[in-house]
Amino acid sequence: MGIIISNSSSVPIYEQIKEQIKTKILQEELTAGELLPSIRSLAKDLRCSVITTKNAYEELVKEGYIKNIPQKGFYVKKINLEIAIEEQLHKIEEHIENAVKLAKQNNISKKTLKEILNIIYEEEKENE
Amino acid sequence: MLGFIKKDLYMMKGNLKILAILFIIYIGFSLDGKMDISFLIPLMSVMLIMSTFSYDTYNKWDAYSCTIPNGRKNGVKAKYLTTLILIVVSALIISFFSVIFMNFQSNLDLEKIKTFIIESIIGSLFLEAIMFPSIYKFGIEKARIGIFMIIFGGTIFLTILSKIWNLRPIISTLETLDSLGIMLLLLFILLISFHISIHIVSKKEF
Amino acid sequence: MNNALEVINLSKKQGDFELKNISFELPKGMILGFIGENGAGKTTTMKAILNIIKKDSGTIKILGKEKNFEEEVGIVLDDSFFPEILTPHDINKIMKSMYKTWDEKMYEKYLKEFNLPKKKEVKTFSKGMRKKLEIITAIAHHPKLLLLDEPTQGLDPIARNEVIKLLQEFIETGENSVLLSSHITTDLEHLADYIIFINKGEVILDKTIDEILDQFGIAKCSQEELEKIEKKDCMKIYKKKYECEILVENKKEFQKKYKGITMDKISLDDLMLLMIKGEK
Repeated sequence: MGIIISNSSSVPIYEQIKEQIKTKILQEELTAGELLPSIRSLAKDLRCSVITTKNAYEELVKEGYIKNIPQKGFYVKKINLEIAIEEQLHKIEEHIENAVKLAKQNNISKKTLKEILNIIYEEEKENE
Repeated sequence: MLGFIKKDLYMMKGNLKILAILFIIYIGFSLDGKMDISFLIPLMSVMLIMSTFSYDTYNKWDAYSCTIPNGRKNGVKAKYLTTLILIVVSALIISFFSVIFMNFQSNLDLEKIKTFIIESIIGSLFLEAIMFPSIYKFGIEKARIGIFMIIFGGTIFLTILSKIWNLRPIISTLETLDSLGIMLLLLFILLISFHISIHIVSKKEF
Repeated sequence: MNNALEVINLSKKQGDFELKNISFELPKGMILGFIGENGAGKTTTMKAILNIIKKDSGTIKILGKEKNFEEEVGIVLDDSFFPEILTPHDINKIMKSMYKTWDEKMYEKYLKEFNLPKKKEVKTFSKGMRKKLEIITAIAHHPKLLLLDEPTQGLDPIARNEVIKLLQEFIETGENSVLLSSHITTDLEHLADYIIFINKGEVILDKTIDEILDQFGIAKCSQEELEKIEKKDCMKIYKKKYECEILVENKKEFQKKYKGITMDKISLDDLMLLMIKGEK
């Protein structure tokens, strides 16, 4: 399981870990019932502090992606992919809403906005 | 405590060479039969212990030793015991060789051997008893200078004193004590010295 | 017992210097980093915890105990160790008699791993080699708590990395804890869970590493902009020739309130500098 941490990113390290594990669950790279590495061994391997990995796991538990079985560890939960994707769509809507607001404030047309979206989408595709 | 004794002994490994050279010199003198410096050997063992104090100070061992289980107390105990062992062992070795040499020169005098062995043990124990508390109190450097001044000044003082006063009565009282009595007295002094050292070290900050 | 170490109102006067009511705790299984300038009181605090110097007042509990904890504590002191005429081999034999739990195999395994010669006198070792030996010696009796004063001092980056790995392995079971001081704060950013910052004998900051790195920030602005910012939103202000740096405790809220001001990520080094040089 690959997790890449950037120390220079402005995103907190615990959030980087959290988001990457989440992505792996959504893309079914991590499947339901799978045991995640322990908080401590993950901290050791990522060379970060224990409190950071603990934070990441706790957030994932809160958001319902993993569960903690005391004495055993953290397991990937069976998640309803549709609901999870729904959630992601909701997030995307929020971001686009912001983009549209900003466009309207500055009198940028719908057409230009669409063009930007297209360009970014294609660029990201190439990067993948 | 065994650990601390081991430490002091390992630290003297290098100095054993010096002791060996001294021993050869001693044999040279003894074979001649005119000069007896055997009493120096047990004294040398006290000097050897002094060198371990110097090394300890140089690497600030005392602070580290405080963090070892019972470190403060056992460190002091070990120094006293190691010195005692060294004094006794070196005295035994010397007497063993003295017997051989005297036998070789066919002038075996057991009484003479007994006297100088006891003298040197008494001297060494006395030195140990006064030196150790002062080392723990003032540090090895100051204590070393202090002790030499006491010995040097004391000798001058006693010489002058004996010129003015008649010290005979005191000396003859001491002479009535047999060597066993003196040894017991010294062991008692050593015990007091040990407790003073323990007290100093238990209060000390490193 | 959930704390490996508890220091409550520790005070100690030593000449001109004074430790004033130092209090902090180290939860079991965690690493606590001690930062501060030279002479801020890091070593004095460590020595008082270990009873190398006698505290004037306060309570210290190591693994729940106020005394007789030595068997379960491993230490590296800044400048105090075995006399250097001894060899690692001698030290092994000595320590075997000092600690019931001394692990000869582990000690020798680490000597090999760190390339330290067994039979050479410590005085022939470089500074880095000595530090490594001190760390191995501290860890080889399976302590539950390690107290390390500047353990990475004199080590090159590769050796520092080895030491960090060793410490992370040490706490991996969740049973062991570490307190370490270091002036190389990047080491602590990767390792420590809690940061205690002491200055002039007082604790001036006690936070988790995530609280510091994720919430704190440095706002950069001009003199004119500074005047528009409320003082209560600034922890410290450091005025430079062309710009002002503001230490901010909650960078997200600050950015919401004051739009358009550059906000930089913080490092422990920046934090130290601003806490000491900055004004309120």
